[in-house]
Amino acid sequence: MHKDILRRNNVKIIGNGSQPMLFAHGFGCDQNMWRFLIPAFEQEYKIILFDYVGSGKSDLGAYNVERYSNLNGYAQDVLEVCDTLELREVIFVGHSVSSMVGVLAAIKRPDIFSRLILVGPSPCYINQPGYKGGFERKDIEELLDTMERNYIGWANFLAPAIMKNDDRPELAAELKESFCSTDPKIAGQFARATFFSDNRGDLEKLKKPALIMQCSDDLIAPYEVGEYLHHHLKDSTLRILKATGHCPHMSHPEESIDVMKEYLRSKVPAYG
Amino acid sequence: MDDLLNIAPCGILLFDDGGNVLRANKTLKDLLGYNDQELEGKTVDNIFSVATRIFYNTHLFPVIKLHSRADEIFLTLVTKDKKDIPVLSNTVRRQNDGKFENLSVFVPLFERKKFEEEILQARRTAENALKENKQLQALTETLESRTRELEKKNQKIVAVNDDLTQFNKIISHDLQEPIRKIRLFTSMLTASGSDQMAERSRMALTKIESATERLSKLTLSLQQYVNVDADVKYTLVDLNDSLSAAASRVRASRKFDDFELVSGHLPSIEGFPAQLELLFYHLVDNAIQYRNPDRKLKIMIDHTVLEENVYRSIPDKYNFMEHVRIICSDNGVGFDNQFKEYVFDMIKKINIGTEGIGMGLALIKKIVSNHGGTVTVESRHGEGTQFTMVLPLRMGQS
Repeated sequence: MHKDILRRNNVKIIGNGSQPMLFAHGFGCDQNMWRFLIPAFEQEYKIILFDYVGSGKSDLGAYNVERYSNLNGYAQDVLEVCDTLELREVIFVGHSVSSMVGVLAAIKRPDIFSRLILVGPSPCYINQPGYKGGFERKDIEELLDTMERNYIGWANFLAPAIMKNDDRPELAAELKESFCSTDPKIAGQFARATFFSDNRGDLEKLKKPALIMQCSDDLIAPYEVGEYLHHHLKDSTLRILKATGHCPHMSHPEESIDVMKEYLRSKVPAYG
Repeated sequence: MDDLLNIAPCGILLFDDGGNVLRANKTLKDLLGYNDQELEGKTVDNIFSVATRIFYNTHLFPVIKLHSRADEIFLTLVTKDKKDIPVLSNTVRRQNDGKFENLSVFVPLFERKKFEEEILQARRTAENALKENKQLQALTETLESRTRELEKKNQKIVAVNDDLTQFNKIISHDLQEPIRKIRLFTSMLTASGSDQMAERSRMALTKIESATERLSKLTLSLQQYVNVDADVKYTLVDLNDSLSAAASRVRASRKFDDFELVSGHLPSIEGFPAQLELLFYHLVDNAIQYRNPDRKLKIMIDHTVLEENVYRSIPDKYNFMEHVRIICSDNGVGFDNQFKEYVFDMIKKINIGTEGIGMGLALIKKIVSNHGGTVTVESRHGEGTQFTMVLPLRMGQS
């Protein structure tokens, strides 16, 4: 079981510290996206990197449509990795949708986590009455279409899934290199689970401190969403980064590292 | 060369990591309906559709950043007057004066897009048919094997049920009768010749009486355990009602009122009302039984609604539905946590000195399982005990 989960989620453990710091990648990427941050933390912490089932170099054979059409299924990946490695006092760092995955995991198993760092989080991407998530349903449908078209280059994809192009494995390898998910179906499921989820009702259940890293011009998680989160997450710190876009840990690693380190230097407040 | 770039039959765009447009050629400006210097200083967001912006942020930018290039990417640009233009793009990244720049070319795809759409459509249709067919086959196979499993389990249940019925009859009738007789004759003995009776015999009689008393309690609680069954119809149960009814029953039966019971407003769940009341009864009763005499007993009931997989026994089957997690903690004497599995067994007790029979926790486990839930316990010797129960909100859909 142990080895299975570590292999399934392509778990990597690095660093010299004892307190675990678990990095969870967002939709459309894999653990490689954290590579600019790791050097800054590996002396002090025990770094755990993984790919969600369906992303990166995870075991695609373990993919289960029912499980991974719900963010709780992704949260289960996080919890299973933590349980396998018997982690406690974990600092969870989640990008984008992984922020909510981390929130769900920490609500279910408060015994595992110490605090959460949320990079570009959003509890709900679609506009709702009285709430501005930033998108309409039709935008997301168009995104799914764009994704589908970009997997068109993969010969497998043009043919029905059953007709495997086993004689041209380099095509799959190429796609794996370019996008971080190898299967267009899985990428589509992840997009649906991400963008159609609404976790606003879960925020008040979190009993762990959290840092919200809000970019100054993030299309995917607009400023209002950061404010909303700060208001509804009881023990949260909101930091507006100078960084623009949705991937500050890739585009502005130095600023991201500074903000994270400053937060980690602050004491964990006692939570009733 | 700049002239050539300006009339190149594709749009050319130079932008930085922040998405700011540094330069654009004339073809791109014409395509998008912008004048001379109008694009420079704007961000790429202005010329990307919403979906393309998401795709750029989640897929394309990470790829460009990690691999310094991205080829044959389908995107949708928007003109100044908000018309969509499908394009194919290639991007390279380079360092210039210490700053990173990304250079993209865009080729409009009007005709090819229609063609691609048709192929995609045909592919979807073919794939759906194939998928449905495969799914149907797989489902039929799963259904067949699960039905067989179910049949086996049903047969077992019928057999176990028969045993239980007989067992129950033995407990409630056949066992009661000898107990009643022993009681009767011991009390006759005690009443008749208590003066003449030797001290040793009197002691033996008292022992017999207390053993009989325990035997009688044991059979009663066994009977209660067997009778708690799930084959009644479930209704919507307000857990606040269950808790307060249970608490007053414990107060009356234990004749003990010196404790604090703190609970938030619990939700209503689908379940069996009598059993849920019994569940809280034994939780509170257990806390009272194992209270620490040196401090006032405090029982805290905390709850959270969360989504859990309803399938616990079937592997690889998932349906996340709302459950309520109820945590009942006390400041009692607690026990060594190594016994946390053991305490749920029937007639097993860790504190031998107390008066209970040791059926309460077994009943809690049975009731929780009748409701399709789970229960665990964590305890610290001298500090207290914490029960965690996770129960589905709805029984019907599960």
